[in-house]
Amino acid sequence: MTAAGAISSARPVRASLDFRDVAGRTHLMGQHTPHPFHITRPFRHLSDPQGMATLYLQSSSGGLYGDDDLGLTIRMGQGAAAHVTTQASTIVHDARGRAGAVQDVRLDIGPGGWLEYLPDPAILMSGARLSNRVTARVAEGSRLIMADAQLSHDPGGDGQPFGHLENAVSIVGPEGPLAIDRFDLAGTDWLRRTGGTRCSGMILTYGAGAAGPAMIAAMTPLAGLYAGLSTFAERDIHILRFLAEDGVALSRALTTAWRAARIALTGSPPHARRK
Amino acid sequence: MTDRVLPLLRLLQTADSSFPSGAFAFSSGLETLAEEGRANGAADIRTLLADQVVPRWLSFDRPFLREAWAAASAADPQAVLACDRQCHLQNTVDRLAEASRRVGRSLLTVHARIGTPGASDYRDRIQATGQGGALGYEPVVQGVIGAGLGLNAAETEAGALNAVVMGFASAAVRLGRLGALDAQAVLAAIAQDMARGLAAPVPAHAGAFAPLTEIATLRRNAGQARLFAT
Repeated sequence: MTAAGAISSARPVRASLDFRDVAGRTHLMGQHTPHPFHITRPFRHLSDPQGMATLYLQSSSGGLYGDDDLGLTIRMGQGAAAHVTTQASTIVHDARGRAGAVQDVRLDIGPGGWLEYLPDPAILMSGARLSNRVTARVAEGSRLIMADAQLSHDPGGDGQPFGHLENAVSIVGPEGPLAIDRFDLAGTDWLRRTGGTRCSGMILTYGAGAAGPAMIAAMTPLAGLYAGLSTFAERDIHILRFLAEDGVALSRALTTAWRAARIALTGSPPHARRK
Repeated sequence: MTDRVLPLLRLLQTADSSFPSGAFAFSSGLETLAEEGRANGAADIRTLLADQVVPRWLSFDRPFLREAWAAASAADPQAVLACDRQCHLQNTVDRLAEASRRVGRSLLTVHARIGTPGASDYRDRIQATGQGGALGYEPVVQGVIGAGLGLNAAETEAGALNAVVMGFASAAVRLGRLGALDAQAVLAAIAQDMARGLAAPVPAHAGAFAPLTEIATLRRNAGQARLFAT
């Protein structure tokens, strides 16, 4: 499947990361990262919960092109904890007449697992076409904090927005789907829908009840942001949505919300992740 | 045309602002936007309708309404319930979800009282699931009611979209952001957008991206006196 429904000529590339808890410390026990996927060596901060491992995803190709078809699966074993982020934003390049890129991320979080999946925003360049799907399967007692954000970038400033964005984030529990957030948008409609801002995003949490109110309280004083929180208590889900006036405000929003969530859940601030 | 007169009269009745659907209690984020200085007059209201309210209804509510109408017309209540459950999963803005359920259930209650075919049956089916708090969304119920009134899909959609647009314009008048005559001018102008949108194919999958008004519905302080519930 591609953003335009056309047949893709690109070779699908599938990567996977397997985290396991071993005596209270999480280790990367399995990895398959074919080109263009690349990862850093996992490391730990003492202040992180559950022996959490931190890992940076990188791309050796410089972003998403044409009809790239990339898939990533992150599996969290029982009780494992990981913070997975990216080194930088993902640039989605002009599709140049091709069908568009597909990015399919699957997050499988076992019982008692804790995953922070916080990639930097996708930067949608003029003419870019992207189908972005994130599906999180959450087990009993697991925790998820995940971000999904986009920035519409028109470097020429000549009113040539991205081509198309199809975006879907799904949360699936042990007994079936819990929530599906999806949209399908032409780049020419982006600024009309956002009220003129170039950046939009959300942070979704599962199994982290205290995190939602803490995130919106931390975001409210920030300049250049317009944010609101949805609470679905019966499903243990919070969704923080925000518009940001530029990339700086967007990055600040993501960092601030994550830090507030961590403090609410553990009582102590996380160590900043350098990029 | 003659055989469409009765359904048309019923459509006009149920789409009238005096019909007790409960929709008057919601402003779709307009009250917040007005307080924040983002909606100040006819031009702003027109823009919000054209860029947020109408596109969101076309891309999100319309596919559910169409699916529910088809299922109800085919006398397939299980398919209607499945459509309602999917609408629940995809309603990821809590206050808009709550508003949609409240209006939907109010519509069901009123139509059951006045004997609209299918209304009391669907209300009872929702209750029988034991998941009443997660079902009865407005576009699904509108599909059921439209089928019950003998409206075709296009008529049902036009009535539902008109109700949303009228409700938004009415809220703008009550908030003092739009005069009564200006409201009519805005409604006349937006009708072109509505007609164009309804003439386009129904999206294969429901989806929503209107973050400005969606976030506005969420930005409400507890205890703050408000005219509207969203």
